[in-house]
Amino acid sequence: MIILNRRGFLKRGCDALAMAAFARSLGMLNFATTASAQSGSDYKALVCIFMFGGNDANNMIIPHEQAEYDAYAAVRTTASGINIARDTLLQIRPPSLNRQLGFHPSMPHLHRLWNRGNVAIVSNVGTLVEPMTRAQYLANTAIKPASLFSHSDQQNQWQASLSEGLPGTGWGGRMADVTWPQNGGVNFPMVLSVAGNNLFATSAAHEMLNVPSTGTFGLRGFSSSAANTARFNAMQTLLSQDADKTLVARSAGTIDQAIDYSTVIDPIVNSTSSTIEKMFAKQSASLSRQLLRVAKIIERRETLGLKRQIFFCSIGGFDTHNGQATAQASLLQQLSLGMKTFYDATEKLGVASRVTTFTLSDFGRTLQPAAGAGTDHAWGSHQIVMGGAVRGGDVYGAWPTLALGGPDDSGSEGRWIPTTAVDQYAATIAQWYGVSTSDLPTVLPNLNRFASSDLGFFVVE
Amino acid sequence: MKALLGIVVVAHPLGFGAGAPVAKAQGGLLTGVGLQAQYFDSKNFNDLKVSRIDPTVDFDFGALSPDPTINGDTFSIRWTGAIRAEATATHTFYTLSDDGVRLWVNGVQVIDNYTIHTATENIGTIALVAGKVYDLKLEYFEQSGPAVIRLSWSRPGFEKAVIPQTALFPATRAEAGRVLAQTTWGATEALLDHVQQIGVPAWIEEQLAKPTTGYPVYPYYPITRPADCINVTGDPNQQCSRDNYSLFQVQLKFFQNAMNGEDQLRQRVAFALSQILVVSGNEVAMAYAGGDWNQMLTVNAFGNYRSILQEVTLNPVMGRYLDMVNNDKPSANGTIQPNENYSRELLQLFTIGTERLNLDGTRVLVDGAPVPTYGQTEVEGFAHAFTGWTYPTIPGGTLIRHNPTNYRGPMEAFPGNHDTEPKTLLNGWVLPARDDAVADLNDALDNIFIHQNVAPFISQRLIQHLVTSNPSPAFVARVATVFNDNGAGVKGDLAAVVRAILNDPEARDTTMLTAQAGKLKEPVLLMLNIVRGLNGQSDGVYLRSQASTLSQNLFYSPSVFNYYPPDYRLAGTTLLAPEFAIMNSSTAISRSNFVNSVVYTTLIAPDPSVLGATGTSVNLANLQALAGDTAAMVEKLNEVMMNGSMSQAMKDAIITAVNAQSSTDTLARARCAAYLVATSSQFQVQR
Repeated sequence: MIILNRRGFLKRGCDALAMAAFARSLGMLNFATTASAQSGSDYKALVCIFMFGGNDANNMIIPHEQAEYDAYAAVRTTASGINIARDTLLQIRPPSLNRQLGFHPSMPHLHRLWNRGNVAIVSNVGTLVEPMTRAQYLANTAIKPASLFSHSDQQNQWQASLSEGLPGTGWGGRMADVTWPQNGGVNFPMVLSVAGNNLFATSAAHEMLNVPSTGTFGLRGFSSSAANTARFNAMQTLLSQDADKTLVARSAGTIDQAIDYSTVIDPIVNSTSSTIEKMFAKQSASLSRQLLRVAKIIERRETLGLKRQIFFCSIGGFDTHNGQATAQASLLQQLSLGMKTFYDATEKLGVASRVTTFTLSDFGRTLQPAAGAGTDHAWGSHQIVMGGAVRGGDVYGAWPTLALGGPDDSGSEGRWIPTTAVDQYAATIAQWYGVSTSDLPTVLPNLNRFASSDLGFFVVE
Repeated sequence: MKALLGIVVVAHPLGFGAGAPVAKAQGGLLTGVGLQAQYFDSKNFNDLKVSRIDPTVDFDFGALSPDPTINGDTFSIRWTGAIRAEATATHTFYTLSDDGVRLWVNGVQVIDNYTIHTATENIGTIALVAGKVYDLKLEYFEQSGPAVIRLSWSRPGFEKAVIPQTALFPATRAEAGRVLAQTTWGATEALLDHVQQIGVPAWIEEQLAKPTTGYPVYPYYPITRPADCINVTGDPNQQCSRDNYSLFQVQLKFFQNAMNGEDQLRQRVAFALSQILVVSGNEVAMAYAGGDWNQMLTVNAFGNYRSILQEVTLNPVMGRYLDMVNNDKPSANGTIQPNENYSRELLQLFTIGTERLNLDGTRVLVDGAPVPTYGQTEVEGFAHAFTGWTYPTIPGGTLIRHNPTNYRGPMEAFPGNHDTEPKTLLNGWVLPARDDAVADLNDALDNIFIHQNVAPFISQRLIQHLVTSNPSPAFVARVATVFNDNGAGVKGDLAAVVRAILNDPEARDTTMLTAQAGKLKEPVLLMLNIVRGLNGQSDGVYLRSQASTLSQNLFYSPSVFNYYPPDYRLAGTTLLAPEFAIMNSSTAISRSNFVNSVVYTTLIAPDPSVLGATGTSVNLANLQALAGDTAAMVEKLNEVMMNGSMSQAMKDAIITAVNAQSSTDTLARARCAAYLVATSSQFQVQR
C-alpha cells in the first residue's frame, strides 16, 4: 500500500518522467484496489483556515438585542469609524444564548449556511495556560500565556495549543502523527498546506507537503534522454550527501520530497476534468484559490488512497489597526464566499459530512477603538466551524460581556479573557477526526487543565 | 569589478593600520603580495593586537617586540594564506625559529617543533605542482630572550631561499570565497582574485569604506493617481502608474545595485536592516516613498542604530505602515485611544523583543521562567508618547492636524495633538506631564536604546543575516559587547558591529563550523549568487518576479514579521532557521525551476515595457572552455559558488553527470554542471 518510497526510487535510479508515470500507475493501482472501501464511508478531512493578523471577532458577530447593541455602540461609536450599523446585521438566534446576534453584513454566504445548520460559532475562545478570571489576571495568581498580544507568539500558541515554552510542533501535526495508522500504511503526507509552512501542521515525525495555490507544481527541464537521466540521477545523489550538515540535510529532504510528490499532486490540482472547478470560477481571492485546490485533492482522494487528510489554508490582512471598516469587510466577504463555495463543493462531491472546516486567528481585537479608525491586539475571539457533521446554527462556549473593564476584560480596553481554551476547541475537532481518547493527551497535553474536552459542536455519529 | 584590482587597503579591524605592497595581475596570473599576519600579545594566540600583510617571513626581532603594542616576550604570530608553487617537484620547507614553530602546507603539517628553544632550523617536505596554489599556515611563539622566525624553501635545482613575496597570498581561495559569501551578493572570479590579494581583513575595511550606490530620488506623486498617469502596453516611456504607484522601479534598482554596485556589504547590511525594520509595499507602494526609505537604510547601514531608530520612527512610510502617523491623543470623551501598533512592534521587533536577554542573547530566566521586557502598560505608555505626529507638510501647504499623505521628509508634530499626561516606559521610567511631542519621542527612543536587550537582540539578527542562523552565545556576546561600546564609548555603531561580526573567529575559522552552522540562502540572495557566480547580467525584471514566486516578494513583506519570521525554528528542533519558513516543497521546486530557467535559457528576454531593459542571462564561456577537463570545470564552480567546500563525493557525482553529456557540446556540459551545483542543497546553504 505504500505508493511512494523515495529511497526506492533512488535505488532504481528512475528518470523524472518514468518516475512520474510510475507514481501515477501506483496511484491508479491503489484506486483500483481500494475504491470500494473508499467511497466516502471512512474518509475524513479537516481544513484549517488561519486568519493572519488577528480577526476582529467583535465585529464579526455583534449583539442585536437593543440594549446589548447600544452598549456595543457606546464603545464603538459612529465617530470611531468602526461601528457596524445594527440594521445591517445578518441576524441569527443561537438557541443556546436565546437572543439575537448578527453576522457582519459582508458574510451573507456563511449566514445562509448557518441557517441551514452547517455553521457554528465558538465564542470567546483563545490561548490559555490554565483557566483564568479577571481577578486572577489582575492579581497575577494564574499563569498567563507567554507574550500576550504579540502576533507571532499568539499565532504559535493557537497553532501549537501550547501557551508556554517554545512549541516545536502543532496540534495538526500531532493529530497526523497519532492518526497516521488510519491511513492504512499509505505513506503519502497526511498534511498538505496550500498556504506555506506553518506550525499547526508541523510534526516531529512527518513533513507536511506544501502545494502552491496556483500554477504548476513540478520539476522542469528533464526529458527522458540519457543525458537528462544522468543529470537527474546526479541531482538525486547530491541530495543524499552531506547529511551530517543539518541545514543542508533539511533542505535536501524538502527538495527530495517535493520532486517525488509533485508528480502525484500536480495532475490532480491542475486537472481540467474536475467537476467542482467551475463553482470557484469567478473567485480570484487567494483563499478561494487555495480552497479550490483542497477541493480538487479531496475530489481525487481515492487516487491518493488516504482516509484521513488535514489541509492548511490562510487569509492574511486582519491586523486592522487602521481603516478597519473597509479592510475587514473585504476580508470577511472573501472568507464567507470562499468557505461557502467550498462547502458547496464538498456537498457536490458527496463528502460534506466528511469534511470539517474551521478557523483560527492570532487573537481578537480591542473593543475600544484606536486612533486611525482601527483596533489593537487583544485576546479571546470567536471562531467558525463549518461542515455537514457540524451541529450548526448555534454558538458554543460562553458569550463575553462586551464592557470595558467588565468581567471578561483583562484590562480596560476590551481584551476578553478566553472562557474556552484553544485546547478544548482543538480537542473537539480532533475527536471528530479520529483521535482516540487515549491519544488526546499526546495531541493536547494541557487539555486536562480545562473542564470539558468536547464542546459539543459535532453531530453525534 | 576589475577596477577593484590593484587597490590594497590594509587596516586592522581594531584600527591598527599598516602598509602593504601593491599587487598587480600580470598575464592573468596573480602576483603574490605576502601572507596575512596576526600578532598576538600572548603565547597562545589570544589578545590580537596587529593584523597586517607581511611580504615575507624573515624576522629577527632580537630582544625587542614586533610592535609597540606587544610585549617583547610571550607573544605569538600566525601567518595564513596561500602559496603558489613555481615548479612541479618535492619542495623542502625550512623554518629558522626561536622559539616554537609549526607549519602546514595544503592542510598537511610539515614542520612541528612547538617547543621553547634557541634559534633552530626545522625542515619538512611536500610535493607541489607548478602553478597550483596551496593553503599555508605558519604558527610561531616567543617565550623570552631573542626572537627569530624565517620561512624558506628549496627544491631540486633551486637553492634554499626565503620564500619570496611573489609566491605568497594573504588569503586562500576558500577564505576569500567564504568572506565574499558573507559580504556580497555572490562571489565572482574577479572578487576572489581581489580578496586573495588584499586579504580578508582589508577586504572588510575596503567594503566598510565604500560609498553608497543607493536609489535615485523618484519624483513625488500625489497619493491619488492622476487620471492621465496610466500604463500604455509595451511603451517603456508610458508606464506612469507602474513606475510611480508600485515599487517596481525600486525593486529593479535593488537588483541592479546588487548585480553591479561596489558597495556590496553596505547593500547586504541595508537589506538586513530592511528585514528587521520592516515596512511593506502592501500598504505603501509609492515608488518615491520606497526609494527614499531604502536610500535611508542604505546610507545608514554603517551608521548608528540610535540614529536609524530616530529616522525610522519619524519616517512617514513607517508612520503609515504601523500607524504612528495621525496617531491622535485620546479623544475628549476617552472613547478613542492612541494607536498601539508602532509602539508594540518597535519594542518587539525593532529593538528589544518580548523577553529579557543576557549579553549573549540567551534568555534571562528567573526561577526557570523568562522575564517579560514590557507589558500592556508600557505599550500604552509608548503609544501615548508617540501621539501628535502627522505627514510632512507638502511644500506650499500649511501644517494641519492630519496633513494630506506625503512620504517625503520626516513627520511633523502638530501642536495640541500630543497627549500631555505622564507615560510609563521601560524599567519604570515615567515621562513627565508635558506638551512636547519632540521631547517625548526622543526620550522614549532613548529609554528603549539604553535597554540591555538592544545589543544582543540586534547583534544576533545581523549575525543571522550575514553569517549563521544559530551563532554561539559567545559569538553573540562578543558582537553585542562591541554594539554596546565601539571602543570609543559609543553604543550602536553598526560599522563596528559589522566589523566585529565578520572578523569573529566563528565567521572566519572553518574549523569552528558545527553541524548546525550556516544559514539557508533567502531567495533574493540565492538568485543573485547564481547570476553573479555564473558571470551573468540582469536588469532585475526577471529576478523581481521570481523573488515573488519564491515567497520573497521584494519590499512587499506580508507583515511586519518580514518575509520569514526571525524566530522561526526548524521543524521538530529548537534550531533557529528563519529562512526555512519559506522553504517548502512548493518553493523548493520553484528554486530548482529558477535555475533551470537561467541556466538553460540563452537570454531571458528584455521586457519591452522597461526602459533600457537587458533581460537576464548567464555566461558559461569560462566553464565551456574547461569542457574537456570536467574536474577543472567542477573545481571552478566549487571555488566561485561554494567557497571550495564541495566534497569529493559531490564533485564525483557532478563529473559523472557531465561526462554523460555530449563530449562535443560544451554548452550542454557547462549547463549540466552549473545546474547541478545551483540546485544542490549544499549550495542552498551558506556556511
